[in-house]
Amino acid sequence: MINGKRLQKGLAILFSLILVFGLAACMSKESKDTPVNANSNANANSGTKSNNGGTGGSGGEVTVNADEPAWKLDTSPVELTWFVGASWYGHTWGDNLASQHVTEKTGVQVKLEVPSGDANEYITLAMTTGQLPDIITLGSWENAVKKLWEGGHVYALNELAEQYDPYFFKVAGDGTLKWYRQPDGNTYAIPNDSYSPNLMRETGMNAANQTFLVRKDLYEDMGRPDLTTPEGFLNALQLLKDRYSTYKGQPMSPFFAQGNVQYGMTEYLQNLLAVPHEKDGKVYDRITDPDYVTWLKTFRTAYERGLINVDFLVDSDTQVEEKTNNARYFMMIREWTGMTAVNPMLAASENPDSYYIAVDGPRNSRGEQAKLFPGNMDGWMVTMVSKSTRHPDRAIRFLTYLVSEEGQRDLFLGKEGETWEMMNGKPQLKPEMVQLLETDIEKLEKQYGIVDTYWMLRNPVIVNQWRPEKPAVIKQMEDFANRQADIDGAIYKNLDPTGESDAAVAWLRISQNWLEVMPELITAKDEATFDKIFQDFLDRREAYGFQKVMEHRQAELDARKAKMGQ
Amino acid sequence: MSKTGRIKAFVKQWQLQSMVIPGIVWMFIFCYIPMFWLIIAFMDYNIARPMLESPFVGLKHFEEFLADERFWRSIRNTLGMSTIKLVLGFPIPILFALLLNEIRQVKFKRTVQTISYLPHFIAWTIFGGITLNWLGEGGVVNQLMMGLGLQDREILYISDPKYFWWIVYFSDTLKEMGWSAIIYIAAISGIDPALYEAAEIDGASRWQRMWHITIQGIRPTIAILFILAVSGLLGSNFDQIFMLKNNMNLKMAESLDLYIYNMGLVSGRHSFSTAVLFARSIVALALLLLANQASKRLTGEGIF
Amino acid sequence: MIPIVRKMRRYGLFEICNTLLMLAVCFVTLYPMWFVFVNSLNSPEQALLGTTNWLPKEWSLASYRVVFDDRNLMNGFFISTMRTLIGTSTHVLFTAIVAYGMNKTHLIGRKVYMKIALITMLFSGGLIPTFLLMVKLGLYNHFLVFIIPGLYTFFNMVIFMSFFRTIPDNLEEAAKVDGASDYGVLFRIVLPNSKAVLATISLFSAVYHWNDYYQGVIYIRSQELLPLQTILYKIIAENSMTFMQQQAMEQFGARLPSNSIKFASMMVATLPILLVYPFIQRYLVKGVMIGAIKG
Repeated sequence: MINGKRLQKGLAILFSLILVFGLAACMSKESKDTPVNANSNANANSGTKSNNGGTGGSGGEVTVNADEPAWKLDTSPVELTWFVGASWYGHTWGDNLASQHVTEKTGVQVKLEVPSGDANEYITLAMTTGQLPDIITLGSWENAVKKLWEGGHVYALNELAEQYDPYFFKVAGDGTLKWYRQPDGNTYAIPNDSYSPNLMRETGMNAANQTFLVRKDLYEDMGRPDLTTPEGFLNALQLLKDRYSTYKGQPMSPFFAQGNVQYGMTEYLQNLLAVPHEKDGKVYDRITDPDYVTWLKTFRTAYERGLINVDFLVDSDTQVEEKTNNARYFMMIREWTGMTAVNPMLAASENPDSYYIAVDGPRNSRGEQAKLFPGNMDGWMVTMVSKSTRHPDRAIRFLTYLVSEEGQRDLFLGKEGETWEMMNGKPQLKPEMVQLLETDIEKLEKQYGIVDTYWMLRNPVIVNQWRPEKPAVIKQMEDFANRQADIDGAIYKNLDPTGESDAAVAWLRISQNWLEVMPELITAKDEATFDKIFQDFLDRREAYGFQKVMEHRQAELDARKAKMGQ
Repeated sequence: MSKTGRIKAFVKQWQLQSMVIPGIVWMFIFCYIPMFWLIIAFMDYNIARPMLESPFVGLKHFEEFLADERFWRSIRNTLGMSTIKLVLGFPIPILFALLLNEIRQVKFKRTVQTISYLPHFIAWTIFGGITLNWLGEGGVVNQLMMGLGLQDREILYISDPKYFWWIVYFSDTLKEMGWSAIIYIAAISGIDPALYEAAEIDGASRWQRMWHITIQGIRPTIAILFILAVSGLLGSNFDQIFMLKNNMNLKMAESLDLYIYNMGLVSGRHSFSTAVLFARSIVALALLLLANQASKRLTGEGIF
Repeated sequence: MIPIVRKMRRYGLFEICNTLLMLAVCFVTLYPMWFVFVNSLNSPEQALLGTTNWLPKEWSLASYRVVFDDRNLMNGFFISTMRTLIGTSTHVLFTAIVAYGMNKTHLIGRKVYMKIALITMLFSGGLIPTFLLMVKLGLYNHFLVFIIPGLYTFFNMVIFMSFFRTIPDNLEEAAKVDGASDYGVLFRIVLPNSKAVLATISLFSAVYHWNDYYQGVIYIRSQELLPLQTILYKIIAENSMTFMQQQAMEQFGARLPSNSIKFASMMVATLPILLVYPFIQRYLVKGVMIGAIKG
């Protein structure tokens, strides 16, 4: 009896083990394929001559032509894996109209790969295995990007293009290639959502999104108080506390700053105050600017008088969302792009005037208009071709196609006649697509895959002309921000050192210390204490090695200027 | 014993050895081979290149964190939170298991036990959100305190560093009490029922039985878990602290784990992180040996 | 007569207080799960306006529909189940055998073995070398990465050892006299007398295997091998994004799942493993029950 039972158990274990190994054998096939490095750098270099009719690499006997996109030369089916460095990216390829259309046209079947966790970590680890996806799209700020370049894990796009598809140089935009060119003369990545200053000037288009927002009905009830001077700001807060601490049945929270100390109360506020980035050719230490310090003291006074609480310094993202969605903030230092879902929702709620509008916020003592970050060349994410790919030719041709006007159109608008049509000589989304965009964006992306579904190589200059008009409650904020964009300020973004250098470690310590010091400043019991805490911070900063940080910023700025000047 | 004699004895107990040696082999493969990489603590390691090509820098990284006042602050915070957890938190699951053991109705007992361990299954990313909700404006804690007349206006508990350690302690106890009790409940279930019967006949009171039978019965389990808890004094629950920390409470919230994350991992400084972890492991080893010795003296129980 | 009444009253008081205390424990520990549950049933529109404390403001299954819409979910469920079954049984078996051997004082080399084992609990090489090792062993992107590296833990071995020590020696000796081998003693005497600890370690291991998302995040690349928790982790853990990632995401107009979807994913991920407990509880409470009834 007992033996029988044990036998049964033993068999069960044996069976499950067999199952595991069987399962494992089936599943491991895929990972065992080792990628072939079809073309090394040397090969790519020799291919340079192929411009003049020579042949090279796997381009075969076909001649590549600088005036013709090369993807047309070979539209046989091929599969490329494409890593998208955003764990929240939920779209697939091949299930919707736009992606099917592109695959049909080019023969390229894309297999999207999305990390389950942190994208930077995923690529960092994949780098050590030597098995990278064919195409990699990763946030331009991630430190894995630099490591991919330095470690020789990705192709130089210029070399690939010269060999397989010189048309690339025509459509990639010379500015971007130059911007991302490395000291070795190569460009390894191409960005999306990138804005060059020249282009912003020519087209009047920019990506400024830093706004100062107030809740409309409350602001108007209060008689549109002046918020640009410290006195006006404090008076408005006093009025809010005295008469509107609950408004339309809700307790109000006076103030919020996005990304609090790290962003909203530092760089963002400095931009609102038009604090210069540079003085007499030298990088300016913006944090010590008198106007900025004055405004920090204004916040301290407001806190001392009980006009603001510290909720904006400690609330979690969820708590902030909850307050925003209920329109419980009076004013916000907040990017309008984060409000595109909220504002229409508020405008459609019981209090249709409870949405947020952009107004003039804090200004410097000279009363100058804000100088907002306009978007820059870095863009959002960058796309690279890994050396693990067995089809570098098809990969570069595919990228060339996608960044060209034709590719942008195929992904953004979809298929002519089905999702868009020509109206007055201009392609336009069909009315039912515009309708879907406003009402059921999920369905639009799932079924048609158009507009912003595949943003990996989105070029705003091309696609924005096809965008339908935005609702008025969003357009007001956008226009307001665009008017205050500081096109020349683009070059100053992210001058700070990163990585493991001494300057980078110094900056790491300084910036993290600032996160703690700023709340102490705002909650300081009097101005003398404020001054002392601030002075202590400046001393500590020196001790941490601020000098090196400033030197790095200066060197970085000079290098950027040289690049832009070319 | 002679050499051949030892070999003979070894061969004789081949069965026992064949039980242990696979475990040792496993440890060598999965623990000791990766441990070789601890030497990057003495290097400037760059992940884009092979490890052995990295330059040796000696104790540079150790000097860096030992000279950093923030490192010492993080040690203080970690020890503070761990000590509260050890002194006030460690006995709670034991107490809970003992009291649960005294419940007579089996159904009720099972229900309590099942319910009490539910919060263990809520991920900290969500449980932390719930905690913040309770502590926030208009949250239950403020309502309760104001209702009891203990405070006259709302307090933003999460913004005040002095509350942080206690928030960590209470939220952790609530989440893990029932789960941690399971092991004691299992230990209690292993106690020979005859002991209780004998005690009953001898006329021992409830408290006497609890003390002399139940607690004595689970003493080895308590001792072992206590030793392990002591060796973890320099550890903390990263997910929990990451959820509850903010810029205002950071001076009490930044634990050693968070320090390593902020100063090392965020910017890909693998060598620095490894150096701090290495130092911590050595301290943990010392603590473990100490606790083991102490426990052996006091209770006669030890891990080895 | 009077002393008996006093005694009863004292017991009664203790009983009442104890019951009340347990009820209070139930309330505070049940509430978080209830909170997750009702908020998962709140309609996504209401969820935008904030969480609800007791009942949904608007009942809706919309969030569950979104969660179950994920094509990989059923596959993830399968992987998680297989992993939990196989991972738990192999872990318990392997660790128990090692623990039994380690417990024997006459084991030659015991002290060295113990030290070797101890070091593994305290020192680890970190993520990168472990990752490289998995790649070299061919476990990267392989189902067995869930099983083999999880065969053993020091903690569970020590727990096994301490429970094995409470088994009376005479039982083992008797078997030995009858000519049983070490394996025979372990499988016929020790393990059948250790149901409570087997149940406990199985529970720990099963819960670990079911709840672990990290192995999937790090070592698995193919969608078809992702366990349920890894698939759902993305939805729940958006706040693990770095500031830059989050800011860029908002700036360029990407959308995050609403709160109610987070809670629904949490429920979907948790419910199956909760069902395991009643089975295991039998082994834990049986002994306790005897003690209490007789006590």
